[in-house]
Amino acid sequence: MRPDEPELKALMICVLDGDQDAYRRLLGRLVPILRQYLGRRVTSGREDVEDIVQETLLAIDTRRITYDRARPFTPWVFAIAHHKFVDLVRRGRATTILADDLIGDEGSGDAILAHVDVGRLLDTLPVKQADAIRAVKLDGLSVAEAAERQNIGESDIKVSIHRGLKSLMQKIGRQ
Amino acid sequence: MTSSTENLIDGLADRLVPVPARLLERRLAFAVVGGAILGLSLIVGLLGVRPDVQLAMASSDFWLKLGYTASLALVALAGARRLARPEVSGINLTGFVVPISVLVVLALFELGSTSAGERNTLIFGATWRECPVLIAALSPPLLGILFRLFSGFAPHRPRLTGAVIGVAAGATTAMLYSLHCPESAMTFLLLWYSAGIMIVAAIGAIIGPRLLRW
Repeated sequence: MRPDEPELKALMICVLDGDQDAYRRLLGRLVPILRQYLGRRVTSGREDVEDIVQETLLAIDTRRITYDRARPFTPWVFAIAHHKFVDLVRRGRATTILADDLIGDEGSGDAILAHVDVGRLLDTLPVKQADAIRAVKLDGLSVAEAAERQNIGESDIKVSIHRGLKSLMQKIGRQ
Repeated sequence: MTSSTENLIDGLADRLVPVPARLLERRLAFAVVGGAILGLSLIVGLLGVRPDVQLAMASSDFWLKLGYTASLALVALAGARRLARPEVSGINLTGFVVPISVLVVLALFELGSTSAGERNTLIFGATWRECPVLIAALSPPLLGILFRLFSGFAPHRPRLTGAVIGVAAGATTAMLYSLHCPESAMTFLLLWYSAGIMIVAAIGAIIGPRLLRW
């Protein structure tokens, strides 16, 4: 969990009680956090990042009834940002899936595939693509190491990962 | 910060209204009670309460029907309440196992203590054709109210959420339908009430991804 969780959560409780100044401060604090979180994923341009940041702020506003005061706040925020990110992916905009998204731990609110069986999805890809994604995105090898392990060229690894992730996202979009 | 994001924050802050603790739970309870009243008036108005209801209330099978459907409805509502939150990506479904297994045991016991020739009566009763259809046909008011409510929440799993809402609406409607239903066999309850509830769950799973997008 983020180190600023207690502070942000305290602000959110004030917001739920109707404190407008706390709301301004909270959203102001969240904007750079969201820009960083989404900026690492959305690669189709700064406008798209800012769009999703704003959509996330709007969703935080309209759906704040779903925040439970007894539970941590930042996972709730990241879950909303993540939902908006997936929505962008479904609309077919270019995005990057990070290793975090594929293997994210519980509570980080960071796991794009938390509800998807990654192994099963990878099995639906061509072997070369699945191996490349496993090596680089899950096992944490560098592209060069993966190329050596699979005994193919580095550019081949890059293309396999790119194609594999693209069809993975399409599969997720259909689910 | 870009000016449009700043403007958005100002706009949102200016029209902030408080959200009391447990508002989600209260809205959910209100929706279920409201939808149940609608469903009850449909059943009383269109089908009528069984004429021997006072006599039936003295028998255990009347309460078993209520208990089975009410416990399914409560488990489903507890699950739906969790699924309303964006950070919840799955729920524990074992709560459904308890009422279903209790009823399976009772139904097997009932079948076992009956002669082969009379088992068909336990299985089909007199109304097996209409029972699931009527439960499914009477549930749309409650199902609609719940879907409307949940479209304002933030479910991360729209299909699962739709299905669980469907179980809640179907089981609540089945509970009310038992006031009309003349059957008393547990085997009948297990088969046909559950079938009616599952039809509504399937409808919820189908429309969930469309209606619960956000």
